[in-house]
This record gives sequence, C-alpha cells and structure tokens, in this order.
Amino acid sequence: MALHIDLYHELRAENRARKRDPLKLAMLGLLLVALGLIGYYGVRLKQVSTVRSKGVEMENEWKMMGEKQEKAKAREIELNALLKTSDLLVDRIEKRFYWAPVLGQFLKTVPREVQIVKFEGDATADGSKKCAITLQGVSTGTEPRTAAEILRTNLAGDFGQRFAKATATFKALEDSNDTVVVDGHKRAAALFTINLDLPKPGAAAAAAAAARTAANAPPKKR
Amino acid sequence: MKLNKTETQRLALGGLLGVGLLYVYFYMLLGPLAATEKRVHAAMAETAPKIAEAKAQVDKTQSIEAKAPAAQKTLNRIKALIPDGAPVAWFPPRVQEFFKRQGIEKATTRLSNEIAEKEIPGFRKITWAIDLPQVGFLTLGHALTELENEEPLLEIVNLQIEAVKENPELSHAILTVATTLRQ
Repeated sequence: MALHIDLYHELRAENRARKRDPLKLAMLGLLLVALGLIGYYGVRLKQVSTVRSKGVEMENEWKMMGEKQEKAKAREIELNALLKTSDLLVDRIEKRFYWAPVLGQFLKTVPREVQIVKFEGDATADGSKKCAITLQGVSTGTEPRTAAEILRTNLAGDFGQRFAKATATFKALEDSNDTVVVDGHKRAAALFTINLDLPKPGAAAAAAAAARTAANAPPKKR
Repeated sequence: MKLNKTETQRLALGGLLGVGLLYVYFYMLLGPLAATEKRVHAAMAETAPKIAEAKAQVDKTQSIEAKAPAAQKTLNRIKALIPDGAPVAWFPPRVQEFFKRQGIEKATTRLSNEIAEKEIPGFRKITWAIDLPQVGFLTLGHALTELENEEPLLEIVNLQIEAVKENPELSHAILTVATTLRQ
C-alpha cells in the first residue's frame, strides 16, 4: 500500500470548516426564509390590491346607482300618480250607474193597471254600493192589491236578471178611497210604495275584497 | 462542530434579529393588509345589496315607465273632454243646449256642491241639479240615454220623476248629476 502524504491537510480542514460555518448556513437559511416571506407578501399585496380595486369599483357603481335610484324613486312616484289618476278616472267612467236601461226596464215591467206617480232613485245609497229606488203609484183592476204585488214580484224578477240580489219590498200598500176609470169602468184602487234596491255590479266583489283585506290585516296593538 | 463564544453571540443576535423581523413582518406588514382586506370585504358586502336594490328600483321604474304613455294618452283624452273656463259658465248652457236637441225646451241647471277630489289630484267633483219641469217619460228616457253616452264624465247620482197633476202625460224630473272636472 502506497503511502500518501497530504501536505495541504491544514488548508483542506480550514476550507471544510469554512464550508460548515453555522453562521453562514444560518444566514443562508434566513435569506431563503426572507425571500419566501417577501414573495408571500408580494402575493398578498397583489390579492389585497385586487380586492381594494374591486371595492373602489363597487363604491363608484353604488354612487352612480344611488343617484339613479333616487331619480328612479322620484320618477316612480310621479308615474304612479299619473297611472292612479288615469285608472281612477277610467274606473269612474266605466263604473257609472246607467239610468237609461233602468227606466227602459220600468217601461217593460209596469203593467197597464198600474200608474207610477212618483219615482225617486238614489245611486249613492249605502256608500254607493247600491241604487235605492222608491216608487209611489196607484194600482187598479179587479184586485188592486194583487196588481201591486204582481208589479213588486215582476220588478224583483226582471231587475234580478241585471242586478244580482235585487230586492223589491213594499213600504206601504193600502186601499184608496178614490176609484179609477179604466176602459170606461170604475175600478177600485190601491196606493202603494215600493222600495227597490239594486246592488251595483262590482260592489259585492269590492266589499268581499275589503273584508278579505281586513281579515288578513294584523290585529291592532293595544 | 463546536461554536466559539463569538459565533454563539452572533447566532443569538441573529436569532433575536430574526424574531424582530418576523414580528415586523407579521404585525406591521401582513396585519394591515389583512385588516384592509377585511374592511374592503365588509364594505363590499354592505354595498352589494344596496346596488342590487338600486338596480331593482331602476328596473321597476322602467317597467312602470312602459305603462305611462298609454295612461298619459287616456288622461289627455279625458282632459280634452273638459272645456276650459269656469264650469258654471259653460256647463248650464251646454246642458240646456243638449236637452233642447232632445226636444225638451225647458231645463234649468243649478250648481249644488263642489268638492276637490282627494283621490284624483288636479280634479274636482261638481254636483249640479238639473230641473226639467215638463217632460214626457219616453222623451226623458231617450234624453238620459244620450246624456249618459255623450258625457262620460257625468254621472246621474239622483233622479226624481213626479207626475204633473195638471197633465198626467208629463212628468217633472229633477236630476242630480256629478261631474268630474279639472281644478
């Protein structure tokens, strides 16, 4: 076995020692950690910057939309007033009570033996829910009271076809002391007063809707 | 491997410096970043529903806006039915003229009541009494048909017809009519 003499062993040992210098290694390690931390900070900075720009963008959008919202609210109030006015006027026109067909129906219903002396109609009765008509007249014939009763039932029946739940009731029915000449013959007469109630179309539905609203409304706190 | 005193001191100092730098890093660099992020997220979470609400409001107004032209047209048509000027100046002659056209010579119109329409701003309701002292029942029926057709803003609220004692063929009619007019 050949013998080797290392004349540089001291230098080599010193070199190895320098390479294993803990301070240097620690410094290298720290440098790596620092680089990692700086990199992470950069990533976080970028993330936060993105979020912040989104936030600014959203804030600007809100400023713009907020102004638009205010204008839209004001315009909505204005438009709603216009729509309400238009709807109410149209509603008022369409839901008027028409008297001409009522008078036409009377012409058909009142028989020859009856004369209407006074007619009084009120289309605003019961909070405008019905039309109340009062008829005063004279009935004659062999049975004047029967003639008046036929008129009452015919009124209820004929008007019932146009107005649901139309009612005709006698307010008064009495024999008259006077006689009436019909076809050259003297006939007994009866004086009558009939109340005819004609519920307006739509009033019942409106009342039902109001009742439903009242039933659904929360109870008042005391 | 053995550290000498100087190296140990250096390592300890380095360690202290490292801890200090880590503190600075986490609490003075990352901390404010996280706080800013949290604040911005909170602000965004607060703003997003407001923006959505604003957009919904704008959409709602646009949908109402679409109905407005038709309503405006209807309103203009209705307004066009109402003559300008004081109603007491034009309404009674108009009624008299109307009944003359229907063959009823005598018609007297009186203003009975005037109230502002609470539900319809800019409009008022005027009630008139129209007296027709002598009119045949059929003539009256035809006249009322025409009146109700020609005057959509007029409603007969009360009607009284009484037979004239001197002439059973004729009646005395009193009409109470309500008209919706501009203020």
